[in-house]
Amino acid sequence: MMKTCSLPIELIDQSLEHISDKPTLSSCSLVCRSWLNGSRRVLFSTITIVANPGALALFVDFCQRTSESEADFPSARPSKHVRHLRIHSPGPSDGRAVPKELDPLSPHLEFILSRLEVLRYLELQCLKIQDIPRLAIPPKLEELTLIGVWTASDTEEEILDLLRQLPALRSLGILGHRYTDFIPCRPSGRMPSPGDGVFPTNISRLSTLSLRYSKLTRYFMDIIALDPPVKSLRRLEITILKESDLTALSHLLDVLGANLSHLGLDMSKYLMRNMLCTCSPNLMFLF
Amino acid sequence: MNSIHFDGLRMDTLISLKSMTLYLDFYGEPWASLSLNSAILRNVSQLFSCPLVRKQLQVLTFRIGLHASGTSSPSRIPAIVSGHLLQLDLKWITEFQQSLPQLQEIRWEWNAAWTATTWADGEGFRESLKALVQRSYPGLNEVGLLRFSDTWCEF
Repeated sequence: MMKTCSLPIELIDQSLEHISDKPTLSSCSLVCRSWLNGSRRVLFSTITIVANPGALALFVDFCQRTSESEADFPSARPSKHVRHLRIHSPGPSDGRAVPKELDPLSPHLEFILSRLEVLRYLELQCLKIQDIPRLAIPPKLEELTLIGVWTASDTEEEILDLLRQLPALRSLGILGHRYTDFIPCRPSGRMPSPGDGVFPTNISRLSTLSLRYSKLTRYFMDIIALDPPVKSLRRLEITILKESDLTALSHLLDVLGANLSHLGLDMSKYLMRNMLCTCSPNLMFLF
Repeated sequence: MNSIHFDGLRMDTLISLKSMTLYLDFYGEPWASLSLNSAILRNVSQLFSCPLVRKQLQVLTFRIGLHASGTSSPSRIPAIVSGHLLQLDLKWITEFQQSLPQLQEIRWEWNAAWTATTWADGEGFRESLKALVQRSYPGLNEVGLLRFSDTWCEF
């Protein structure tokens, strides 16, 4: 009988990493036991879950069933391979994205986050999360992206509380966090500074920061430019909405510009606003 | 013209800069909006007049957001996108290519997020936009500097 696989497992795994379509990967995972691990590593590396109780429960059920049926082969369990997880609201039927409530203490969510041992990237999109610091995010998480996430009090402290739990964090993205609020916001809390008990020390190790259409943009720009500045920062993406944002960015580039290898600039709205302001102040209601 | 500023920002501190992403947003009908072409040209001429950027920049990405927030119906989006693209003239690429020895790639990323389309039929829209770009500019893929990515999506 012909031997199924005579290639070293490392070569098989490498080859499987070049396959991108799911049906092929699913077929590969059924070829033989030595192909199972490599196929699943690719197949389950990125998971997207719609934030409704049914979908979360379904994923939990799937994790549990595979754990039971493959008890003698734990390294192949799908949950062992999820490195990127996206949780987002279901698409709206009327064309407007409506944030969906996500209970951070939901047993399903807790189960999912606790089982994903190699999770490195988490993206939460278009969700209302009442008590975001209580999300049981694995401490090894390296990248966190919050897109259109509404929190209970909408203060920067909540986000700082969350960050404090993530010592390995290297990349932070905050997008669309109440961006329509043009009222200058430096809310209740005082500005933390490096060395005090409030400043999340992991911010000092960030290498990527993306702040787009967020009312926290100015706050985070100020934080990373504090003395000593976040010298590990290499990639920065910023949306400029107001004159004060531009001033803060200018200062930041003076302090940290020499370290940056990538700069992303979104000034469209600011420039258009300025232009309209000059041409016709009556059009300002559009912004 | 040798400048160190880009829209009010000093660029001469960016001594390690290798890549830049410029976001350009457009709302509604092409006739009601700023010209995409003039916005690109304005950015490019400002950026490349800075000696440091000219010397170092390897990858330049344009993230172009074509929003339908000023339209009455999401079904108008393909026509709007088409209108913006028809105004686009990329002759400047060949002009700048010779004076930018380090520049390896200009990426174009298109976004029609913040519209109903992204949510209702994201895949279908992405494919039709890609086809539209390729139909409007059949030669672009042959120019080494240009890379078209999929649309990127926020919300």
